Amino acid sequence: MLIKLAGGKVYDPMHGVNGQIKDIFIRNGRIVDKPSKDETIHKTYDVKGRVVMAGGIDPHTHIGGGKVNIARMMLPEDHEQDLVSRTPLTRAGCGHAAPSTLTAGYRYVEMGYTAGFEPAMLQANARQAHMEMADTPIIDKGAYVMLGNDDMFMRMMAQGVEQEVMNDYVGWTISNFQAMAVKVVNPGGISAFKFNQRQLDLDEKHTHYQITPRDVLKTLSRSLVDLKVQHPLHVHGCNLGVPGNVETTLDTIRGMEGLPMHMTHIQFHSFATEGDKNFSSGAARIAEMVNSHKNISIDVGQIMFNQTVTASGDTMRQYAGHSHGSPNKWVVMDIECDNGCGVVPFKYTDKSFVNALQWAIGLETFLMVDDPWRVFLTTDHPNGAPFTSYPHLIRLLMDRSFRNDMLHTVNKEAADMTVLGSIEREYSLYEIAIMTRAAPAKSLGLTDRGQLGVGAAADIAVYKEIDNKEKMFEKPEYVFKDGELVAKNGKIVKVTQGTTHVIKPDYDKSIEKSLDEFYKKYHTVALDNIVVSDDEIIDEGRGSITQHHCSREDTNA
Amino acid sequence: MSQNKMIKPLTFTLKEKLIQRIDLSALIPNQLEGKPLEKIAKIKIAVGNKKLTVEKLFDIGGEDTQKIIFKKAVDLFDSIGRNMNQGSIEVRGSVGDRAGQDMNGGELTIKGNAGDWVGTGMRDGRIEVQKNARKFLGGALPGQSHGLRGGTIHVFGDTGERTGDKMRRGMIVVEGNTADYTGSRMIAGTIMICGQAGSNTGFGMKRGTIILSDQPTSMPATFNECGSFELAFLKLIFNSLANSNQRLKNLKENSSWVTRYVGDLSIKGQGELLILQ
Ligand SMILES: [Zn+2]
Repeated sequence: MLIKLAGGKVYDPMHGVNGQIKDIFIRNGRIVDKPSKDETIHKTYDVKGRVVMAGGIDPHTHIGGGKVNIARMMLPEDHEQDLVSRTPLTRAGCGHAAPSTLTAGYRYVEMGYTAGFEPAMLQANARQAHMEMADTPIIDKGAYVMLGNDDMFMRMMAQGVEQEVMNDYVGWTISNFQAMAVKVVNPGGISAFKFNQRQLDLDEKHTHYQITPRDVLKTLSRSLVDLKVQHPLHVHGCNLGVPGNVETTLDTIRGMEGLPMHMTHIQFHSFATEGDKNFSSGAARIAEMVNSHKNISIDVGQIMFNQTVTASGDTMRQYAGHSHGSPNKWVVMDIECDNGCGVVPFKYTDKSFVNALQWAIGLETFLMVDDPWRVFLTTDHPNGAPFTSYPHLIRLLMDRSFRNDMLHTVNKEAADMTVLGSIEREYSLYEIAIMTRAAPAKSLGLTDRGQLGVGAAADIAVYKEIDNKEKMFEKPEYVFKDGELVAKNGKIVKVTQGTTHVIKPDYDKSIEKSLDEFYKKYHTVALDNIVVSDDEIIDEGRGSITQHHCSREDTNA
Repeated sequence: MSQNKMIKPLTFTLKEKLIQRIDLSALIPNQLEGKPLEKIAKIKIAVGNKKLTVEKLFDIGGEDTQKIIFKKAVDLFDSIGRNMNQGSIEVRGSVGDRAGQDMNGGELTIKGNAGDWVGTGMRDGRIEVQKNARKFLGGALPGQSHGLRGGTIHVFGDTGERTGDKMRRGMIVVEGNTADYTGSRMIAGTIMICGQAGSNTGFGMKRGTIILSDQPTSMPATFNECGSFELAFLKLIFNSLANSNQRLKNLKENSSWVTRYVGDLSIKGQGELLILQ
């Protein structure tokens, strides 16, 4: 089957294509060269005047694993108020902030997204996370496994094992839990919380293991470089939400000494302490630091004024924030003595000084970081807002007058403290295509996604070009997944099953001997049983695994 | 001219015997206000796993959308009066579950029996159940933080278990008996039981008042007796109920002497069971 998308305005930053009129040809799910004249084109879509981009890729979205399920169980009201009926094609579902797996998949695709990555998969919850992602239809998925608070890691650090041994443990973890990258949440802090520490600064020692977050970050980042893992260490830093944490964040970036690092939901880590309320924006300093450190990439974790739920592995900070929860119920729990999770529902309002300033800090960050290849568009779904608010966020970035109109409606004191109103920058479609497609694909090492070059997977979104960018990005005219038309005018027309992206770095398997002993002695589940096999994901053909090469080349690290 | 004409209440009479449950939350005064009858007739109602139009299910009569009457109602009628905040609904017959859920005003009268969760999440208004109601009357849905949040629920007959579970404001009056766990996990508000309350009355109560005409079957061990009192505010409650409702006029004669129990001390322990002497 040969498909032609005729005459669209193509935005493909991976190949420097910036709005040129181009035909795109698809065969067997892949983008192919222009066929010879005598070949039959089976189907032509006239996309003249339409904007054509690769399918969106969300590099940080909580769509699977224990904490999302806890959020679902805890918030029946979230489900009751947002019911989705079944159709002959799609199944019923529900949920605004914590949608059901099926609903999440459909909504992503209806919005032109074709991949989403779960950024906080605990070892003990990996099976659950993968099963939920298997139930998330159409989109491709993948997960980042959490390290840096588990007892095995903390012990190894405390014992001062060789970097090579640590690399083996990291490599083993990535491979055996079917991960795409490694995330660290409040490095060492989740563990420290269990030793009654309620705060852990970058250079503060864990009272039991006597190691600091800085040690954890450097060791893990080094491991990923040595293992040639493409995506840098995905870091949820120390002191989330604490006024003044901008200093910690800046120190963290400096402390990496050139090692690659991705700092996630940086908005929550960019708070300074100026002004009457000792709360102000540190976005300008963060942006300056990011601009001058090419080893750093970020995503923003933009907040929106709405009811949502925060779900994080950061028990320490979630515990600290639980009193702000709305509605007033929360869960902070340990998971298998290895990691933790905290779920606190939250209602951000534009009347709140703090919330309004958070909103502005996020936008300032977007607008002051120069290089769209190093800043990804996220709301840290659902922590800042559900992913369904992306079209609104895109409009805020692309439309200065709209942005300023919104700024006038938020808390006055907060509005007076942000430079947002004076920022003239408006993102172009090309830059949006970078930050929502090309950059996440490049950062994750998805060599055939996030682009429209010959040989790439035909994950494509076609938009009507209209002035109101929120409207434009809400409902693409066509969405193709692996060459099949899956959504039309914001409605699912075909349900397929995406693949699971993984990496399998090389490591010395003899590490399993000491791990086996550790698991026998301390865990509730045996080593052989906790790992997730390929077969479980392939599930007799329902799912599939796409393995990427570990071939990162770093010159400066 | 039309101003003087009496407008008849909007009446929905069930046409055929129902087999599946039916969700009637769409037919409330605030939703139907200003809608012409032709439009109302075309509103889709969930019946089991299907959707059918109002005219397919009901014979429609009258036109006053602020006074709605359901006739031939049966216990498969769910979510009747859900989210209503004005006007009145009268149900001739019985209803299913969640009658008056999240109601915020207006009057809902059920002439027959009601199912589970009458008035769950209700904030304001009045519900009257003229026969019996089942479990969780004014109680919280699973996972919800609150049951009744305001307004009044008045039951002429008996209610099932967990009456007033997690209620946090408002008033429940039960003329008959209640089953076990009356006022469980109550946060605040007032429940009055004229008949007999079941076992574990007041279980997990934080604050709030349960007025009982007799000793309940049992109360948790974590309630303490605090002696006998004459409580002036009871006179006020009795009078106000008696004045506003003909059926409760005898309350005026009640004595305001009570034996007071305070609990549940396993939680906050600021709730009270007042047993009339
Ligand atoms: Zn996150």
